[in-house]
Amino acid sequence: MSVATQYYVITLLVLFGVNVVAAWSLNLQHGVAGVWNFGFVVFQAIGAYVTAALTLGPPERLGGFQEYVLAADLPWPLPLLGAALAGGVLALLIGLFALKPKGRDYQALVLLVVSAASLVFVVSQKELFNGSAGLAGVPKPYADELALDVTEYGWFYVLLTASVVALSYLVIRRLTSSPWARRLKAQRDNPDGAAAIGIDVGRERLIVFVVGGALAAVSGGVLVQFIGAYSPEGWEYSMTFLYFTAIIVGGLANNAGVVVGVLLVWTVLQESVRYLPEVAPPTITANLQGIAIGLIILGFLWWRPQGLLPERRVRLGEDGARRKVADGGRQGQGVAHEGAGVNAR
Amino acid sequence: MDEVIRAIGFGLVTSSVIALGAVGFTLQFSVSRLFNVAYGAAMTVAAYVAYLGINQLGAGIWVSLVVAALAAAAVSVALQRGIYQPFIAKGSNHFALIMVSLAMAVIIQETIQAISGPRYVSLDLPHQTAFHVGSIVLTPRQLVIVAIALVTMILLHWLLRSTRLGKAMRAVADDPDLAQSSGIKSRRVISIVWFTSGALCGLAGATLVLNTVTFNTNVGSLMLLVIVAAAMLGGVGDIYGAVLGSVVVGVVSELTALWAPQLKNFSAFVVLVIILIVLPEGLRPTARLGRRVAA
Repeated sequence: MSVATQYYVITLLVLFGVNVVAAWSLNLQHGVAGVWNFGFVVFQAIGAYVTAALTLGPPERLGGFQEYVLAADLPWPLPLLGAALAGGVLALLIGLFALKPKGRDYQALVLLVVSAASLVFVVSQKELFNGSAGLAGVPKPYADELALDVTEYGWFYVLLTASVVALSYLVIRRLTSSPWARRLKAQRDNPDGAAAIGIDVGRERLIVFVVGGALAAVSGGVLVQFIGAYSPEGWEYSMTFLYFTAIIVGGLANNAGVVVGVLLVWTVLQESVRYLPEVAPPTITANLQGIAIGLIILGFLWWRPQGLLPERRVRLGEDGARRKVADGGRQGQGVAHEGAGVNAR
Repeated sequence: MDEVIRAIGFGLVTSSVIALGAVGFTLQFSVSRLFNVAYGAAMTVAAYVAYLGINQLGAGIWVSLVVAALAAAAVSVALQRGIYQPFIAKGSNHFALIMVSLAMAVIIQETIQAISGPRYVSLDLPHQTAFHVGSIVLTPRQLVIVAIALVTMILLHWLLRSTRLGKAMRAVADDPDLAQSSGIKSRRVISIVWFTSGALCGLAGATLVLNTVTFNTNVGSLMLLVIVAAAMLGGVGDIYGAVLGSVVVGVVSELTALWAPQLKNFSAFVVLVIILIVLPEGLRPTARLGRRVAA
């Protein structure tokens, strides 16, 4: 492979890993727990910013052209741990008010407002993370020590990403097969029923919000150490929409489905545009891509709302044995909770 | 002190625009119980129709305003009849419907952008000399915006309180099945609500760009967030609360702009957070669901 091709493949692999970790995190919150986190990308963003600040060292090192807080010079993987901590704390602070209103749609809208407001805030406070210009010049972990050429280092970073993905998978797998996940699913499907059998619904939702926030922040950290820069353009709320598209296409509450969804939505769909003949100016191509994503969402919700790989649920057979069955589409999820449901007839 | 009074004057104009949008949003929600994210996209449609009317076709401001409102109303009814209603009939759950409305918002916005291009556009409006009333400085156009909002609110109040149609709307908001069995044509009433709320949404979009003049295709989705904050402040589904919420958000954001212009839009959010922590049900928690449109 030529250097350019190799680097292209490396980029695809790293971004794929980043997006899989992020989508697992959103899937834990949304697919498993029914927390409609429309502010998801904010948590990826804080992870990216904190990781950048924790690796850039003092601003003077690069000539002092950018301002940021939390300046430090930590070795990998400590910055990612810092990112996870920051993501978790931010999720706790936001969750304490955003998960307060009754009704998941209210919560979703508050989180949507949170997403836009955070962007306004970070852009306006330059001393926080360098405002609208964002942070650049983020060093790559162990690049100086290893002194590899560009592609060799690229493959090394693929390994680092793979190790984060593997670790995240172990955590996610453990969490989604735990009794806690069953409590989360119980309150997702029937909040009042779950409360009646002693599940503290508000507390469980806050915990999953914090855990998901921490993991989303890790994905942002892995991303920023690869691309080396991060700015507000990277976390407009349309990004959250793309992650939701991935988990809906793949299959909610199915970790393998999420991987398939990320592959199709983030990798195949986004990259295929490169290989199509140029029929229109680039801006219009971007518009058509946006329209295509909208249509894919509509198509899946119409014909296959359960996604390509549906959630597998444990049911007891007639002989009392546990067996996993594919779920039919989770019709009515959350509707009982909303009272009369929707009536735009 | 003069600056503060002047900011409150600007705040009333901003509040008027927000109120038009927030009342439409909350009316739509109280009857359909659907968080329609494409509401912001319909606002963008209205803004571009106004642009088309004023700049390209040379139609007057008033004609353009009316056409913009009708365009957003048409988009709104088309969404309800053509998209949401079939998904509901199919048994889609609540989350799926929000995603459908998000997808429609993206499709509409990207379509407008594909046609008009990504650049900012500006309305060709004649220069106006500002009025001075005490310390308040407003252009005639800004006064017209406030007047439009006031007249619209009074008409809406009259519609909901004093007409059979308004009574039917309140009944459907309360319980559509019960309303249906009492002889109200629920489906028709719901469509009229979508038309009315769409027209309010269009007025909000058009008056917004009359006030700010320069905009791009993000105008509606950015405004939607302010409108949602105002509507939630008032308690979603409560139209009088929505007006109150809009005044709070509009005035607070203009006052914030006095000392930190870049935080203008952020302040609406801070107000919302404080309210959520102190009063999770909004400013008027006693206005219960069924009575929201009414009381």
